[in-house]
Amino acid sequence: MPKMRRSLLGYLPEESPIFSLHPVTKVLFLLVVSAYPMLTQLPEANLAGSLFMLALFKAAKVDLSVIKGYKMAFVNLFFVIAIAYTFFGGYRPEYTVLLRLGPIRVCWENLRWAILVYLQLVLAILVIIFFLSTMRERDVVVGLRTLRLPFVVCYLAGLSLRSIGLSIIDFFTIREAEKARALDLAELPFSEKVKKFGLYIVPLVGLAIRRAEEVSNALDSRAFRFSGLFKGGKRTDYIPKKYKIRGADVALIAIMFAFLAAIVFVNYQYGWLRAENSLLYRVRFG
Amino acid sequence: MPVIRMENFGWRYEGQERWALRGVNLSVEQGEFVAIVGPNDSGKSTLVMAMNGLIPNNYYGVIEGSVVVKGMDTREHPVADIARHVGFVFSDPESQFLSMTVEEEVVFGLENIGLDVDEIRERVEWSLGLAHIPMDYLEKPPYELSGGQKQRVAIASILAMRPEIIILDEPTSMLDPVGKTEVIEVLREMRRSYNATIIVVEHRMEDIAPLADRFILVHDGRVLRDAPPREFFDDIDFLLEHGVFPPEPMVFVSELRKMGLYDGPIPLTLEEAISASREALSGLRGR
Amino acid sequence: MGSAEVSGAGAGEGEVAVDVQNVTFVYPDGTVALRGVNLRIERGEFLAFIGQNGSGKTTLSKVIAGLLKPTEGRALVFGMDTREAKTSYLATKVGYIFQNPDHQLFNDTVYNEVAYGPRNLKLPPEEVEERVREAMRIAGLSDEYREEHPFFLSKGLRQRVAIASILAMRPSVIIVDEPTTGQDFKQSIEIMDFLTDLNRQGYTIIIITHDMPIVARYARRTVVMADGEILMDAPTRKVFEEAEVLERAFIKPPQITLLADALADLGAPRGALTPWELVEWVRGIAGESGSGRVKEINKGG
Repeated sequence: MPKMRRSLLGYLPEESPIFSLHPVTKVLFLLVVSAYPMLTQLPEANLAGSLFMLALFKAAKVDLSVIKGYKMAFVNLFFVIAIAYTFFGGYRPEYTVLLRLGPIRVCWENLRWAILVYLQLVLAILVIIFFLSTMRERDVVVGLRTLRLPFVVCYLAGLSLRSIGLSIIDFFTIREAEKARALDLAELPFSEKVKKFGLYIVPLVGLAIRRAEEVSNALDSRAFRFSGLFKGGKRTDYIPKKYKIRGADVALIAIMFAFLAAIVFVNYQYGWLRAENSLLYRVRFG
Repeated sequence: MPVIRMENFGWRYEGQERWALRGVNLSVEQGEFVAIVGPNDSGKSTLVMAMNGLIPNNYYGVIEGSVVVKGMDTREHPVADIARHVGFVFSDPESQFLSMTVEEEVVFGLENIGLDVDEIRERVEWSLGLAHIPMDYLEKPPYELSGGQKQRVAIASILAMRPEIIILDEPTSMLDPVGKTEVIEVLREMRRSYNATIIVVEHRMEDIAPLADRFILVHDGRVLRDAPPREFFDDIDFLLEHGVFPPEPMVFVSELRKMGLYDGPIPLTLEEAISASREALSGLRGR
Repeated sequence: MGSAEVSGAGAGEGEVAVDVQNVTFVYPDGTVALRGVNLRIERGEFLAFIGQNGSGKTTLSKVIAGLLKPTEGRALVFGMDTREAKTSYLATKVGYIFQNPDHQLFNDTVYNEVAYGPRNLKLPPEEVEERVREAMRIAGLSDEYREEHPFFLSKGLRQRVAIASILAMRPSVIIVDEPTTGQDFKQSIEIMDFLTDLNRQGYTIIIITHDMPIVARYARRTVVMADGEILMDAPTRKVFEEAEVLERAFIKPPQITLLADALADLGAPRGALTPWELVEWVRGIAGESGSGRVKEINKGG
């Protein structure tokens, strides 16, 4: 198993070719590539996209056990979507009823939509996981700053990352503190779990409020101003300047956008990526 | 001309009846190393927060008298302006660490005051060196650092701004013994090679006593004593009565003095305490 | 002033409260925090765990409280394996007081906070009421605080609420993480005197701390940890005599102990833990007026 490094967002490989890319490339990857499945209904295309993502994980030396951590989420997601479409997908006389549970009709047409939507989401989620497992925290801020977003937005993004990190640590301590008071969530049934979960919010928010005072003092004491300006000039962008956008970045960004354009073009000009072209639509029952 | 001058300064936090501080007259000269001691809630933090303008700018309350820092009246200047002259290190290394890497942390203040890129690079190297943080730590996130390392990064990020005055509010109170030693070591280094005014609030006095030019005792909102260390520790019982526990060797030698076995000055270091005790006890044995 | 020598409540002959057998603990990210640790604690002891951050002392105490389950080996709490014991059993045997009270205050009133644990145990209301009353009294919280919101109390009071909420579980062993961090001298003495008082009433107390003078004054037994192992486990006085072992754990003995050591050739009691101990020794010599012979004062041991 390759050595992994813990990061706030997940686990990072120690070494990866992805690290040599500019953060802005990675941020754009998240924004652009996660749009692909949203524009593509064809399940085969999304499945192919997912397989491509897995190959990308491999190439970036991200341990696939990272994805295994999300296994239950993937399984649950499918059931949630399938159930939602069964209940709210509606019914028409021409639908094929696979199963009847009292008043509930499980129809193939609804299930098919569930599969389509599910595969779209799987690809999108894989893109997000990939982003989280190749992105160091500072990359987020550098990426946003390079995109010329207002300074306040970038800085708040960075500060929230930092506070999420602190809150995660708090969360584990609070959980232990609950156990020490004879409450173990793991021993409770699901409904109780949800109810008790609210209890975490009290100390989490309390700790955050107490910390806020110190954080704002620390910001002020280092001459921080929300405007990003100070008397007589603009704040320096030192960290982003350390990163260089290179040929590989330009090429990759170009490819991402070109592919996006291709998807839009192919879809609206020829309709190749529409759901009806799927093999699933050839499946007939009885 | 003093770098900090407080005249009849007083502060009462909104919603409280008690004055956190009252009638404080104090001036600090350039290059002095000042230690501030006293029990919790006696006004020490209020005192140092008044020295960089956090009070009155960031808190609601009632002010009396004035504080002038490097010629700036803190009632008229925002903290961000005063921060260029006065650096402030807080006690909790966790919540003052604002960024996701050491480099961002150190660079943060420098970016805020708009220095150019080369200047920033040079200052990062210089301040990390002074705080004993290796350069290959630049990319490390906070959760990979020990408490002592985090606190030294906090100090480096203040040093990098090259303030004439550096205030440290209980910089070691949350640290383990190694972390404490590391931070004290950096203080010693700062005293030696960086000619700034250093103001430290500390409970544990054994490490600070040999470094400080001057000790200030704050008790119940008042400055009760303000003297060079040797004079300050001369009346141990007075300190004990006012909630300050001096280093134990000092307490012992002070007892020797009460027994009439010793009449020299109060020792500031363990070594001095050993020779003072030897002197006292040899007198006893020869009797 | 703090009382150093609380004489022998229980140690040596009592019931075994905690028995840690060959415990190894590995965190999910692969960090080995404990390596084959053995430790036996009897009812009524007053212990300190000392060592650097990352030495394993906090992990060990959480294993004892059953908050962490051993990766290898086992930890017994009053004979029950912590891996098999229910959370409710463990919580009533070993109480764990966290360093920051804000991590353990979940409720909207002090009363509900202290009643929280007993309610989790599903005790009848009268018993909950009784336990809250008792716990608040022992922790020094007067009735006027019952309906206060814990969040708005001072740090010192929040700490008391946290202690009361653990006392209400009536645990036999109480573990306190860093009781004196951020406290001044007087507050530290107050907290430690309070713990000493609980110890006299029969509670077993374990403190995890970096504060060596506090260890010297209060703990009768000290466990020194480094790198996931127990380097030394002995009466506190003995531990502070072993400067080399402490050095391996990056710990400096209290300055007064170092001073006593430096005066050992004059007959100063080695491993002295407080200035008063040295003062008494000097009084002893001074008392033998004229003889010039240095009298050994052997206190405790």
